[in-house]
Amino acid sequence: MTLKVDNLTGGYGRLPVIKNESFTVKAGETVGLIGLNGAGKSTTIKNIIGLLQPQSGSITIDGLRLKDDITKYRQQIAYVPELPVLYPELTLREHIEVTMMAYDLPKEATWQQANELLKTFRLADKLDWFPINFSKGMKQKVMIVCAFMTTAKLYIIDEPFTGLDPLAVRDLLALIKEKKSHGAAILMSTHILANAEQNADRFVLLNHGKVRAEGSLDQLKTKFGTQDANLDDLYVQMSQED
Amino acid sequence: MKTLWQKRLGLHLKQQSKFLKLVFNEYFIIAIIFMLGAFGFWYSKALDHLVPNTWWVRPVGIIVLTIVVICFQAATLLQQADATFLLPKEVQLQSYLKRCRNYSLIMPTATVILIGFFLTPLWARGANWTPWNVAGVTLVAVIDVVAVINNEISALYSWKNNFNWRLSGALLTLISLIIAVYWQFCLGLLIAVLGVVLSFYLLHNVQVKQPLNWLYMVKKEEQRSYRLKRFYNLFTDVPGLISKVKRRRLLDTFLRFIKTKQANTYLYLFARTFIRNTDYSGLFLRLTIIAMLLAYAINNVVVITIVSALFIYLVEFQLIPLYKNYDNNVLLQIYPVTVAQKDNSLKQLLWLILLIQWLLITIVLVIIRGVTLAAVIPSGISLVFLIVLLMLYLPRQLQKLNN
Repeated sequence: MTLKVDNLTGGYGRLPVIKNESFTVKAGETVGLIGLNGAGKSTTIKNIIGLLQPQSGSITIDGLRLKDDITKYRQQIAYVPELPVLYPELTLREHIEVTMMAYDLPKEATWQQANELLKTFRLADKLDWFPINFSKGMKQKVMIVCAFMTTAKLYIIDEPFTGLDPLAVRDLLALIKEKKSHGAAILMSTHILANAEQNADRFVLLNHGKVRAEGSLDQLKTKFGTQDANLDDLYVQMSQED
Repeated sequence: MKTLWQKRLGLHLKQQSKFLKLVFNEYFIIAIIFMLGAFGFWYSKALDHLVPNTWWVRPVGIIVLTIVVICFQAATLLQQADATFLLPKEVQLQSYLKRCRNYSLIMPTATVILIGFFLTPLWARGANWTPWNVAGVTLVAVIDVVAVINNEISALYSWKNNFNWRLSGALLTLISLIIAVYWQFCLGLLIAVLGVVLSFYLLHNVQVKQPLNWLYMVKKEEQRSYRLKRFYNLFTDVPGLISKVKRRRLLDTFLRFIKTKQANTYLYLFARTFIRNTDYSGLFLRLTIIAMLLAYAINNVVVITIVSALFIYLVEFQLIPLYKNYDNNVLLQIYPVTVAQKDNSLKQLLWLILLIQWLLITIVLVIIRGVTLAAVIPSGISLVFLIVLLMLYLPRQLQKLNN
């Protein structure tokens, strides 16, 4: 599985937020999408999952564009949005069930998977709760459970660490590692650079809607010309350019 | 604080006038005039039959006045964000609350005077009172209003139990009215005035001693404005009205009939939303019950046929927003589910809902009229109407929504 973003320009209305963006995410790797507020991280993600239409350029998953086969394209993606969105009228159990229906997942095997995830994130005893009774972090966990119980090949996670307790952050990172070892590709945008540095194989640094640099930490250091820097330093250096 | 109050009040009045204009449209005003006329007619007829010096006239008047006095609340016009942004201005907020207290007196005072006006003929006949007597008692009630609203403001400073504030206001009203009506008018008046003085003192006292319970205050204002909007919502669409969700566990039995397969994803969602979201289920219940009552009350076959079909159409029309209910949900947008499946799900659900409604109306018709033409004609025609509505009209509506 390869996600290929090629020369992507897009945004809201006529003004493009991202300009000529290109990068790839391959099976079995975690790519961190890094940038300041407003650099275009969420816009990039929205284009990939098809909430926005590219103004120019293309996005393909294994050569397949969204336009070619919407159902097949989307079946491959699991997405955890930045802000949790739940159905006010559905219980936690029903959220899991509706996700299973939408992605046409086998019932028993998926419930087994879901139950494990619920246990990990300490939600197992809250299956009959409505979203209104969940805290923000708990809602985030529900989103994670619903995304990670699918058999998607590409996981897109928007700012996963804000709002989660340290235990949940650790569990989520373990989950990402597990999916990766099973051959999934993961794209996550984040500001929490320490987590990104330790857990991502490669990074895409966005600045003003353009890819400033792409590659592993070592490759980035070479590109920025600073050998003893960490991701924090590179981030600050990038933000100070122009 | 003064400008903040003026700004909020301006905004509030603008909003109210907008809604009131929608509520009091020409038809509604005509209906109200008729209803008032009918009520006045009935009232004067009923008064004719009233024997002078009837014992229950006085207690009924006292109870009506007391209920009116205590059913009003202080409108603080505060918003949720205020609990964060105005937090450092707690002491200054006292002058804001003073203004909101004064404003909150207008509505109950006007209503109490109006009720006093309506009670005048009742008391004149049933208790042999002059209008001046009635005016005096109404005055006592108006003074009680001040104490009740003062207590409402004091309650905003309570942390454990705010019920006592309401109870004491209600008791003061009841006692002062009883004394004024049965015993000594002047003593009742005195008690009411003393109650107001005491309420001022207590308000000052809590404001000095207790911190403001911001969360309770904001929640209360939210509930108050929610109730108001719910009322407006009966007549018009109120934007930003957050609907309530109820579990309704008993109805889960019906939901189990929906098979969990991909094609049913939307049906699964729509059915649960319809049952648990009070907006949709309440609307269905209200309209269906009214239709059943009309089916019971109306004798004319033509009129009842039109009414049955009309109410089926009303439910259909008002349930269409269900289709768009989740369009803002990101997840639903990226589900690998097709629009055709979504259309189909809504159609299935509407078939079921409207057939239930039709069946209920038909049952009433058959019970009242038996299996006669007077029952079969309206029932048959509205069924044909239902089929045409869902087969021909609904697909067009959905197409329009999708464009």
